[in-house]
Amino acid sequence: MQWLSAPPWPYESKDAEWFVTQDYPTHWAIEAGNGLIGVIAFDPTLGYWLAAEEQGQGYMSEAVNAVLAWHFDQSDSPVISSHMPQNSASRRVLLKHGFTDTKLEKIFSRTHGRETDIQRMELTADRWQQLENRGAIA
Amino acid sequence: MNITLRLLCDDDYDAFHAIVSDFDVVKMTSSWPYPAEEEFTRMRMSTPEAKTGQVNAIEVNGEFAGVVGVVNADVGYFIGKAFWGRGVMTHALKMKTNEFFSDPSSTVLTSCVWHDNPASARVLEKNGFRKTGECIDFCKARNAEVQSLQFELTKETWLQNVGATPIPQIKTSRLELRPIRMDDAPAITNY
Repeated sequence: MQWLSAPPWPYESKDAEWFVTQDYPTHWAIEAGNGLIGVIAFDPTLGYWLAAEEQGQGYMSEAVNAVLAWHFDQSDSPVISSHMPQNSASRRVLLKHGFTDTKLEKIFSRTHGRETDIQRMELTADRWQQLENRGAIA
Repeated sequence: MNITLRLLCDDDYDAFHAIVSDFDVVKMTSSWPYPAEEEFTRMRMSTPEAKTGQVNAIEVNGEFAGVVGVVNADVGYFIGKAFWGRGVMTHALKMKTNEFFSDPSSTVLTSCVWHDNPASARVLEKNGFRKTGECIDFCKARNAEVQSLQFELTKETWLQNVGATPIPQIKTSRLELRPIRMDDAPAITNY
């Protein structure tokens, strides 16, 4: 939770209920055979989280790859994503898929109740295509 | 032209106060006084809504241009005359509506303009807002009651505008990605 900025903290069941009762879902549940282990969203910025005990197995990279492939299959518009600079695992996932830094900004984090730095990144359709052609992305 | 939204800061005061000292700007707002009052400007720059980024500064090529804010799912904005007629407000409002609707609990965003402000109504319409009604409100700068046009932008329209498509189920070698459901709420709360 420390790497997220949008969810309120403490997080209550009513917040989760809000989250899942959208008319137009833009969020996927991530499952690896045994129920929900994380969420990935494309709304239209890319965001995600994975349960702590499921991290380090490449799951998020696999999910991000699938969502990017789905997006670039139907659109040439660039994808924006952001992470807190200290969140090196999230940054690695984005770098691996060709995202490049655009700017460092300050935002108000509802989770932390204060301002926090956020690194914005972007992935263009051209860059995605280059990496895919080189087989650089599994 | 680089248009960004950011948190208001103390250094914005001079540019901010110059803008709200212009009658042509504040006569199109409901609550701003004319002539401008320094205390009022400072108060509005330091509200909880400003501190938390519900109200943002609009910056054009590094220069303070105005403000846009969403409070209680209603959006208000103004920019200095020097920035009028260049699409600045339309783009800034687009960024703010994207931020508003990226919160899954957001369903509809409202806004009001005075009847004699067609430029502002166009800014709303270009962002997909539709007129829903009219009413009479008090305009402090004019010290008069003025006819107001009410607009709203629904999440459905916003999603069409941003080109969002319903998400499909996706299978990868180890994972299944599926649209989130109502009964996911307990699992999400537990994490």
